[in-house]
Amino acid sequence: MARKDLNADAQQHLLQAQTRRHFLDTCASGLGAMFLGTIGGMAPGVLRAAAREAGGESQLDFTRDAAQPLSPLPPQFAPKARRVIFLHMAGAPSQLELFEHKPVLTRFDGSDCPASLLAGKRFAFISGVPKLLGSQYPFHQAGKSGQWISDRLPNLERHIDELCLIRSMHTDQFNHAPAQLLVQTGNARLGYASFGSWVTYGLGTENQNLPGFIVLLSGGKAPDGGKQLWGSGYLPSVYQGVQCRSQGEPVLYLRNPPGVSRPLRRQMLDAIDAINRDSYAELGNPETLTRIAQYEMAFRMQLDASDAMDIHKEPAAVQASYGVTAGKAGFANNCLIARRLAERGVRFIQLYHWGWDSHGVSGDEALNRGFKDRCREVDQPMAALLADLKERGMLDDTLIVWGGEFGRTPMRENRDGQQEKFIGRDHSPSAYTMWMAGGGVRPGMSYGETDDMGYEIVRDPVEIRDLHATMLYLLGFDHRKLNYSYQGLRQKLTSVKPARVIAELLA
Amino acid sequence: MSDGATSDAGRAPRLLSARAYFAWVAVVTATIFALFALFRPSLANAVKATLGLEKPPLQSPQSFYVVRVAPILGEHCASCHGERRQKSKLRLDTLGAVLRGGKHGQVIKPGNIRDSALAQRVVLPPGNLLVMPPSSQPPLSVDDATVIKLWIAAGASGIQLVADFKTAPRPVARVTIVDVDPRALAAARAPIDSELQALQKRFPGVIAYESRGSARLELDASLLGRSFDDKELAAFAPVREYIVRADLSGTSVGEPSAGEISAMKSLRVLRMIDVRLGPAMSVELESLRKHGARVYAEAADGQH
Repeated sequence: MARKDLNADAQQHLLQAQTRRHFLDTCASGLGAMFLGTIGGMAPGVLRAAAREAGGESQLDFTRDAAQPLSPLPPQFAPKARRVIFLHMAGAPSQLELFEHKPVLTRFDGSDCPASLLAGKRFAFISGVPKLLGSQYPFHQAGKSGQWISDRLPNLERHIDELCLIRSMHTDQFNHAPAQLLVQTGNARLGYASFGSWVTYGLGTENQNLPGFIVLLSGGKAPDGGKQLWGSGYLPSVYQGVQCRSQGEPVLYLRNPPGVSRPLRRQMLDAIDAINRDSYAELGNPETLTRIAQYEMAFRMQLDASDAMDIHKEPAAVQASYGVTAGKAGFANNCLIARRLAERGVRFIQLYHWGWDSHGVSGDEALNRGFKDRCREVDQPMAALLADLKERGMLDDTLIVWGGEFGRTPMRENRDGQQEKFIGRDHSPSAYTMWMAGGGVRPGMSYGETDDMGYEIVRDPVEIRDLHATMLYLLGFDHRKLNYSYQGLRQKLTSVKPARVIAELLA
Repeated sequence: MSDGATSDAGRAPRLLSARAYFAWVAVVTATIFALFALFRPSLANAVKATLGLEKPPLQSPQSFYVVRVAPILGEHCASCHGERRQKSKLRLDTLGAVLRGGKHGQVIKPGNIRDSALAQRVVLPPGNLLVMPPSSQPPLSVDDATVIKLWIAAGASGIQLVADFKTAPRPVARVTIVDVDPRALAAARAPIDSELQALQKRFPGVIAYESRGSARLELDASLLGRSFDDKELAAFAPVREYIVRADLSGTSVGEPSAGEISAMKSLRVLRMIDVRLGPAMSVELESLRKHGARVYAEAADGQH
């Protein structure tokens, strides 16, 4: 890249870092200081007090050696969870076919939706008067905790007493991309730091030979939110997630090409490093340091990443328990990789499984067809992951989070006023179900409640930011203290609206 | 004056002697005070408390009050009704004070929820002028209010046990974020700081403080694999009593280290997956388990 571009880039960063917030901030305290100066006498003590006020409460220090941006830092307080495995069901699975048992809705199956349920609502596709749609699958109570679950997840059901179900998740987004961004970055717009990058920023990475934040995709399609879902936003880009392929080479072009030996590669990197360091000395762009760190990480990863991703090193019995398909990318393979990565000190492992957008417009996107396949694809591997982590003494400090980006309507979708050929439901942000397990979460409980239609929350609503605050608490952080100054604001995952740690979910 | 006094002797005899007069005044005053105190119980209670006449209510450490009620009052009430501030002269940070009440009288009528302001005001809707805690503060959860009601209904005692309240909602973990006192922390870390730094240099990423506010240590050698052995574990002896969590999975640590582990007096979590487990180590792990530590152990299967 030409030097001029870099310079412009650095200037742009400076411009973005200083905003009206700085003006308002410094303006107020500056004028205040001048005023206090004029009234004389008491100046020093009062000024110091005023400065303390303006500086606010004590902040955590996240500065590191610039050459080692991923070096580990201790959490704010003793954590319950040391790592997170986030199983994101992209497309938003129907809570009414999995966890929300609503006999009243079933009784009214097929009748016109009452106007009261439609008043003031916006839908992605439903128009006119849709019909109510009861659950397509039978429900029963399971485990000692007696929680309701449908017959679609028989393997996961064996772990029901480990799960902490949140039946009252609420979001304000009803399109996939912004809703996924909200779940993963705390904000529906682009440019915000994802959960995983906050974690690597706050804690660094335990294993310097692997990224601290790894992303694995399955289901044949990348999530709508795209790479921003594991982007670092305003945080230095060294904290972004690294997407690995679960088939073939985990990271493309990581291996040395034929004829290039490891020492030769080292020489090459040393030369590039020297040039980059010169460039950093001249221009001071922190992204240059990120680049140096990435090259070094890639060099070390050449040895470790392939080994971590190689699930065929696992005993046959373990592979079978996950239902691994040799040599093929899939959710089962990714779950087993996730466990191997967790063991190797990776802090945040994000799995996306696409295909839950059951509108009913095609067989694959229908509750009575494709939905069944999706359930089958995730049920066994999720259960195996829980069992495997437990057996290895890792479930107690690994936080598993499962869920989509919103819920689905209790009405049958009637796109353009027409009944669909297959059975499906539209997007519904008002209420949906997620679950957590392990890592300091209270096992065998349900939190929150929806109405008889499974449509609106009637008790204990949980906003995405509340979920984030709770997850960060388990990781050993007050969500307000894990922050990064950018554009004159202490940016944080939970953004500016007040978020609460939900004590009821804690073990 | 003495003349005047003798001249008085000729008048009608006094109704009361001086002594009787003062006795009467004392009785009337006491009655007025008593009546006043009757209608202002806070005054009587305050007087009793200051005079040390009040005997502190019985209280057991396993009681429902200590385990369930006191934490709720501590979290939601004590910042205004506690040691530092006593709004309405009310304190809710000890059982005696809770039963005594404040300026406006008792806040609890044992056995009677309806007349207990404490039970009534915490369930008022948000925005209500009388709701406690005030609307600017987070309200009590439904479960917290239920706990308080159950306790008052059962007599607001300090000795009824948790087990006596079968219908009480399941207890909820408390979210507490304590501000660290940097001086106390430095003092707590002082005895091991230099040894720790030397160890961190020798074994990067293996040992660290549990958190920014803690002097306890965590040891994780699992990433080093078989190259980490008994000799290396022994190097951690100077700091071993501070170690609360150790992960030795996949290392070649074995029998000779049983003593080392037993000397880790604060150990709460030990993970030893895929490690050779001899008899001495097994005994040590069992004893750790008995003392309430979480131990995850699985013997190496010889594949490695």
